[in-house]
Amino acid sequence: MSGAPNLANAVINLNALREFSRRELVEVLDSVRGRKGLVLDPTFVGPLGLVAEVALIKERGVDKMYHLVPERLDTECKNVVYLCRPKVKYMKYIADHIHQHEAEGAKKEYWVFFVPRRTMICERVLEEEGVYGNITVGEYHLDLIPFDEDVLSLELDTAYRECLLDGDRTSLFYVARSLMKLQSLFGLIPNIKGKGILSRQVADMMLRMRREMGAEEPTITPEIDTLILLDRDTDMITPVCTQLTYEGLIDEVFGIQNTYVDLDAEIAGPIGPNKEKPPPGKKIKVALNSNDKLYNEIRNLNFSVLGPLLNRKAKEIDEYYKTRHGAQTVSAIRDFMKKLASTQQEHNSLNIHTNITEKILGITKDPAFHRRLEAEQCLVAGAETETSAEYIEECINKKDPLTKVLRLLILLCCTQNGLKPKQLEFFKREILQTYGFEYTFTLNNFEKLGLLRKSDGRSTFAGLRRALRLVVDDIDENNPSDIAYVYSGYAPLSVRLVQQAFRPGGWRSMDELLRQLPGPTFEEGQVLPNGVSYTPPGSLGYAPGEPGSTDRPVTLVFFIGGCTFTEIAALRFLSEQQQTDGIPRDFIIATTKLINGDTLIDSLVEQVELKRIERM
Amino acid sequence: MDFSTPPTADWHQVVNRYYRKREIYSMAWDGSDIDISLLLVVAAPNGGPIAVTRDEKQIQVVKTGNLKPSIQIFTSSGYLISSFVWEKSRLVGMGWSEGERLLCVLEDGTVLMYSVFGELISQFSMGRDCKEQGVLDIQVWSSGLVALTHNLQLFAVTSLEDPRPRALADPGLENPPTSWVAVDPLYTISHSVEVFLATTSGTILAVDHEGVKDQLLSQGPFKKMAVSPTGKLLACFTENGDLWVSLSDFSKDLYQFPTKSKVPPKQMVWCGSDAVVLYWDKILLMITSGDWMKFTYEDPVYLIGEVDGTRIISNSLCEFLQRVPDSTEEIFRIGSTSPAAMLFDAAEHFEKKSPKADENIRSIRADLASAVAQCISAAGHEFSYPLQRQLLKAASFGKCFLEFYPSEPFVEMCKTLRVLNAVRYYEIGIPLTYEQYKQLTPEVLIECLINRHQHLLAWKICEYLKIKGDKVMVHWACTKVKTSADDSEITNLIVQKLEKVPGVSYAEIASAAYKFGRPRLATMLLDYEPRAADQVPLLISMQEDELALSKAIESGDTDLMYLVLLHIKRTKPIRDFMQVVHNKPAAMDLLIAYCKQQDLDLLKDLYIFYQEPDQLASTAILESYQQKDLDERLKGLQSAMRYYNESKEHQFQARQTEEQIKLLLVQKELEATIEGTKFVDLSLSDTIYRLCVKFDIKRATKIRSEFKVPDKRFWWIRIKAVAETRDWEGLEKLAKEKKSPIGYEPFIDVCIEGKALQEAVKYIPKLAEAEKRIEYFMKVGAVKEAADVAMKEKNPDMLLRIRDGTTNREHLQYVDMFLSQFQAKK
Repeated sequence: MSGAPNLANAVINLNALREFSRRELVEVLDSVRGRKGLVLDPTFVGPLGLVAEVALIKERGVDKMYHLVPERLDTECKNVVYLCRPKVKYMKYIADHIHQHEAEGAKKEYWVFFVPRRTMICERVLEEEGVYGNITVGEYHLDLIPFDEDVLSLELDTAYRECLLDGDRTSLFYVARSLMKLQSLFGLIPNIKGKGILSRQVADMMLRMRREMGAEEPTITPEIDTLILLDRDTDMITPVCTQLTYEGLIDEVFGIQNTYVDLDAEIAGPIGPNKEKPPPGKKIKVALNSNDKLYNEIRNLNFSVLGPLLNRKAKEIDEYYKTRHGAQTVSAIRDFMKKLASTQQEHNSLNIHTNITEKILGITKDPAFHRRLEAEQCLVAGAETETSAEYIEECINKKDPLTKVLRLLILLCCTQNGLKPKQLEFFKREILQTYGFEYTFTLNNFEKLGLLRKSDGRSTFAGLRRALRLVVDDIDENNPSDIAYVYSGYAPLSVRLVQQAFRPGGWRSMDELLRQLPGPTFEEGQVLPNGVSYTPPGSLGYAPGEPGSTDRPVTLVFFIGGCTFTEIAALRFLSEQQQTDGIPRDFIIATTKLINGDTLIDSLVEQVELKRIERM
Repeated sequence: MDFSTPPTADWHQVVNRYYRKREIYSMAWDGSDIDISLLLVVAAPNGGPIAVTRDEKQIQVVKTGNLKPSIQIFTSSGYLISSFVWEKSRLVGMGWSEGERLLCVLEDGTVLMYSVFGELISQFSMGRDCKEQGVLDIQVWSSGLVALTHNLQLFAVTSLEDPRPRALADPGLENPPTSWVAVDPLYTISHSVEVFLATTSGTILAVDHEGVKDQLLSQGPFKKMAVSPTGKLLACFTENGDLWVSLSDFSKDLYQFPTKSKVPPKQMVWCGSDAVVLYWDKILLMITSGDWMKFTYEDPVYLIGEVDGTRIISNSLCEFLQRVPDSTEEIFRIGSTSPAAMLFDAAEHFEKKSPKADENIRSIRADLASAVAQCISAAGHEFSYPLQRQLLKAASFGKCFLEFYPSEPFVEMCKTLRVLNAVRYYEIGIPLTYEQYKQLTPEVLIECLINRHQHLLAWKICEYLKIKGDKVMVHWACTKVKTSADDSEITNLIVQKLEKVPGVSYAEIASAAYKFGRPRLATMLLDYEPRAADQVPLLISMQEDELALSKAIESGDTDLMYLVLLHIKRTKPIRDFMQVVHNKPAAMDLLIAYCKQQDLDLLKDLYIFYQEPDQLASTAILESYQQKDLDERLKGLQSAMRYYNESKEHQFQARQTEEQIKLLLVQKELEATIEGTKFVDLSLSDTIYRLCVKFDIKRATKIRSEFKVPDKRFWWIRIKAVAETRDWEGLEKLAKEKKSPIGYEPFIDVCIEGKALQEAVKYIPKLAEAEKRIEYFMKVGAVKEAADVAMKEKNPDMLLRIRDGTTNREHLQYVDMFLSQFQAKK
């Protein structure tokens, strides 16, 4: 698996999780005998690639692969296997294919495997379309996919929207099921904490599912010490701010999808004198994960310190190449050769990252970027709100991308605990008149979610800012001592909550404060099954594990509704620090989807199809 | 040894092998009016039960009061399990499937599945085509059946849980086959069912879903065929009286045997995989490669092919004919000196306290381990308790002389024998051999026991073998709900018994109670079910819609919620439906999400019912956007406005909608007057922008004031338009109109962007901050002007920075000149 992360260094055996999914995929494909054509949900191709490479799929008798799109399906394969999310539109495409084949007299057999499970609605649609009898229905329970040694994602693109806007909380059921699967592999998690209404629901479902399992409980010694469930909703400030870590900025500028980024060939192209110049406009997929040693070193750094660091690296590599001329003895040459392959790899990677950095620098140096950042930081710090509001107005007047405007407006609203009624109406009117009346649905969505709202007179954010030290003034980006470095001064609220969970007394000791954030707060223990005992690492009576284990309690932080790269960076930073209770911890991050402000806002913007007026 | 007969008394040598035929039971039906010669008999393999019914092909004396035929089911020992009157139309055939389920097939292709107690478990059809053609004959295997129709077509069902009849390829027969058999998919290469049809022309057609293969044989026509228990071999009886055995893929003939009987046998079955047994009246012929053996019977008999032998049922006896297992032969063959025989002998001597014991053991020292293993294995093959005991004793004796002999095989065999002896007990009547038990698995055996209502025995076996026993308890409870005790009494009894059994499905018990007509009991039991996925469907079928919905919501499983919602929607009037959903927000939200995708009309009904005018307005706007006719779109927007106006909260939306209507009308007029430019559906700002680009500032200004566009935005739009038109004159005019509400930076920016640096210079002095002025002067390359500003500000630092920003010698001199002035002052 070339592009998938190597999981050898993960603190829990995530490879087992991936193997589990690979095995199930093989079972699914093998359940259809003979040669077959595989039709894949296009949103699912990327995630699937992190579980199984194309060769593995082809080995299981798949002759051809297709995308599930609203077009004809022309295939010679007699057996057609669909692998897709349970969405109504896909059922209609499938029905169209079957009708098409029937009309053309092609005799085929069909299988539909739903990921992660079949639903009533989809089966009903297939029935209504009159094709249910032609299809054998199955399930592929792929849920959490390892994105890196410490990151898991369910890749449910619209979980946030569905749960909070559409009122369809199916994703929560999937979240709970995925946690049950993790528990079956890594033991019951003794401590569960959570903040937010969705988290509460997931925790309830987990407890319920455990009851439903009855006797079939896993009796493995727990490997995960604590589960922290967080609703994205509890902290909407973090995702709307511009991410300032290297990885975060790559995501903001280029967009990272399933650990890959699409880059222009001239940025990512191979180097060397013999290599041909790539044709312009060609895109190359570059994997961004811990397999790339250099990237792993720089991904979580604040972007501002990257330049000098890359320079230093370049010099080191240069020095190394120079040693070749100095190598006189056989052993010196042998030493040189030993490191050659890895250095060349690093050299190649350095080249790519230098190119990316230059590209990003071009953007961050622009005064426009600065003004935006300034506005964001002022809002977070609660200073010069008026100027920021004027800046937002100017953005609208200039018709900047609506996602940018909405990100800033949400930030304004969240940090001010709502807008004055006049101000709210003003912005809404400005948006409708500038971007078009059809955005009235989008505005409704944001109001329904409370992301745009009238102020209720209480000032809660200022209190939180103080109590949780969300703004840290003297950040040394080169040598940070606080997670606030990821936003050059703003500490992500969500990660602060994680930090607070480990203070003596935990969240309970700051109940009053947490009540200002939406949704219930809870901290609970799970009673372990008979015969299973657990002593948390670091506590009295803990016997050090086998060599290689870190002897640090593992905390799984699950962001329901999405998680940003900066939050991951902040949690990675935390795992290198002592926690407030004095125990160092390892963090594993799971989420419904890796997001940034733009992708999150985009999922909430209502796509309205406007028919062109033909008659007046 | 004090047995009246030696173990070899019933052995018969055939070529170099031994076969034995042993009596297992005296049939309990002996002496009743059961006469299998007059009955259609079908028995299940693995010591399974026997179903009999009147053979319609034979003329019979019908006793009075017994006009309707009945089906009777007996144990293999002849005890009646159940008997029920056959009320349906004529039976085409019967057969047993796995778990001792009796399949009865009618001519119209209806398949009825019964328990051994004659309870109908399920019923399905072999499909429309099959029904039209009518069923001629059937073949049943453990997990399915295939039907041959009068039109000589084949239809198969390969899963009895999810019966989906499928046609096999058309064999193209003109006459009915002279005989036919089906091969269990478990044993075919393709893993789908295969049928052999013997044709009148003398060949065999192999048919499956994919096609027909003529085996191009000439030995036929075949009057009888039988497939061996593992599907590898096929035995055929020809018209000429020859028995012909070949591999079932016809790749090799194995042997042929002339019976010299032109009459085909009544029955032909396999005895394990190494002999074929044929039965004519009074004669039983066992044929194996190179030899044969004859048994004579006065009584009629019925044969059942088993994996390791043949079970023979007669009016008085149940017997078992099998090849003597190797280990048994080694030990008991007369004159055997094998280590196992020596060990067995030694053990006997030991009991008699004879020194020969020691001598024997010494002589086989080297082979003792295998001797022990053979004694253990031979014990497994015995039905007689004393022999079992004797063999196990011998094994145990041998073990004493071995230092390292694992105890598991011995313990395992003792356990297995306890189970086998228990089920072989004549009242239970399952004459299961060790081989059959291994193939059947303990789990399936337990299922069979449950189906025979032998709960206590099944439960004990579960406990003894440490197998999960929840199924046994559930089944027991399911029979309890049919007793006459009152609801709470039964509930208490069941809960008490089942408390300690993990994983019990209360839903299954509740379902049984409901089917039995005790809904209240069902509801009470269902409350104990922890699995919502099991609970909810049953509640639906019990018409407890509201409760089902609540339970589904509790579980958080949206799919269950949909299950209930869609069910209620289908079965209840819309008003009632809404009433049920009304106070359940989770369900309501889900329903709306569904409607948005699938049912817009219902969505509107919902909004009207729950009085949500703003949602109705949204829907109206959404629909208006689907209109291609402007008037229709306007109508939609107007109705949206009316909805918004219904409440005070939505005044803002109402106003905006009104403005949008106004805008559309303005845009319509603009399109009418300005040729070739699209305006409709642009935003207000874009409309103004487009007018500015067209230099129609007058109309732009008019619209701007009509819609109260703020100054700032209007100015931005106009400056942006300049970027497109490069109308620098217009820009200057704008700057002079009044003091810019957005400052002058945008003016400069637009000039720089348009590379009109000279134009930019005009606006730089208008900037308030000196810093900014210098910055912009530097940007457009006006270094001297920048230096002038710095000089005016008397700021040498600024000058230094300016100096850093240029390489032009003239400029450097100019700046240095100023700098020197400062130094002079110092």
